[in-house]
Amino acid sequence: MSVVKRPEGKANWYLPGILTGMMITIKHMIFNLTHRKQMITIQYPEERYPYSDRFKGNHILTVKKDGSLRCTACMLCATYCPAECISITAAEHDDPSVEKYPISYEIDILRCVFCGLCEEACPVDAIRMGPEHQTAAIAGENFIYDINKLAYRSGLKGGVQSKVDDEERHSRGL
Amino acid sequence: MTWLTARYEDVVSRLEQNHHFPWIMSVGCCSHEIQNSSLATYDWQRLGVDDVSTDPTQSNLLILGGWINTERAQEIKYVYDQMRKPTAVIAIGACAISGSPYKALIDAPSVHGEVIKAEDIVPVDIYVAGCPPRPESILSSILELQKKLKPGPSHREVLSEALRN
Ligand code: SF4
Ligand code: SF4
Ligand code: SF4
Repeated sequence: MSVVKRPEGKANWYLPGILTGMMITIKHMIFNLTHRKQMITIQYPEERYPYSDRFKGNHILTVKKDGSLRCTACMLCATYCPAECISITAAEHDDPSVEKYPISYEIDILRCVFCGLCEEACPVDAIRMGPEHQTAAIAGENFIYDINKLAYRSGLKGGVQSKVDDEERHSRGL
Repeated sequence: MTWLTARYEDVVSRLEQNHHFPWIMSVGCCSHEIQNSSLATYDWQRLGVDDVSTDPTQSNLLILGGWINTERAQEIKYVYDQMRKPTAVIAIGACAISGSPYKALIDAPSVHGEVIKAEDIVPVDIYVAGCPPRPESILSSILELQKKLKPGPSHREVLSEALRN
């Protein structure tokens, strides 16, 4: 058996090393306490990280000027979606200038991969990826987002207006 | 003596509502977001999630991420059975929740194995949708978990409400 023999008097020489190391930690602590604005930690529920405009968060269904859904139920997004999580039921509209509208538009948020292909596929700017980060929720809550949640949730303040309007579309022959 | 033991267990269970010892079983891109939410910028120790211990028998929060194939499912079950009860489970990302990025494997299992949903192996408490979810979503899943373990307004809400007035 080999035993390392340490010189007796030098046994306490580890203390300066530890204290020098601790000085760095304490320096950082004092700096952080006196410069709260420069601290890199984000106090999450109160502070938010600023995202860029192209961030792909929860979906938004846009609305027309009168507040009804912009979506024409053309099924392009549901066809394009790689996760097959969009399900749309179309119905005929009373107004003859509007071809179709969705009675139900549902996104299964647990299957969605937030790729943004639905947004790219949509010809009339009816669906967008919003600025809110994805949701965490307790098991058993509703994870299938319907029209009420997608278009009129409280964070949107009565709906986001679409850039394309019906009259403009007809005048351009779209 | 029994009174003391009962008190002790009461205190411990109350402390555990806001203090989680995580055990992370994650592969793929979601694990980067989980690591990110434990580092300095997001720092989940603020919310009461402790350092990752070296032993699942000491942990009571199982964090699942990435796709689950047959072998990983066995591993997850093995670890879950050893963990401290009551165990909370958080499933992170579309892979672990529904396997939808590997939909082709769900439809036709191939040599790469099949995709298994987390809820088929262990009881999941919190789902975090996204691919990958942002670290904010992972932090809010921990807040949701604390809300589930202890219904009613949390200390954080009470404090921020008091500070606003
Ligand atoms: S973001 Fe991608 S996965 Fe989600 S609904 Fe749109 S197309 Fe489907
Ligand atoms: S959201 Fe756009 S692509 Fe999808 S059905 Fe409606 S109009 Fe068509
Ligand atoms: S859910 Fe998406 S980000 Fe997470 S591991 Fe699967 S493919 Fe990667």
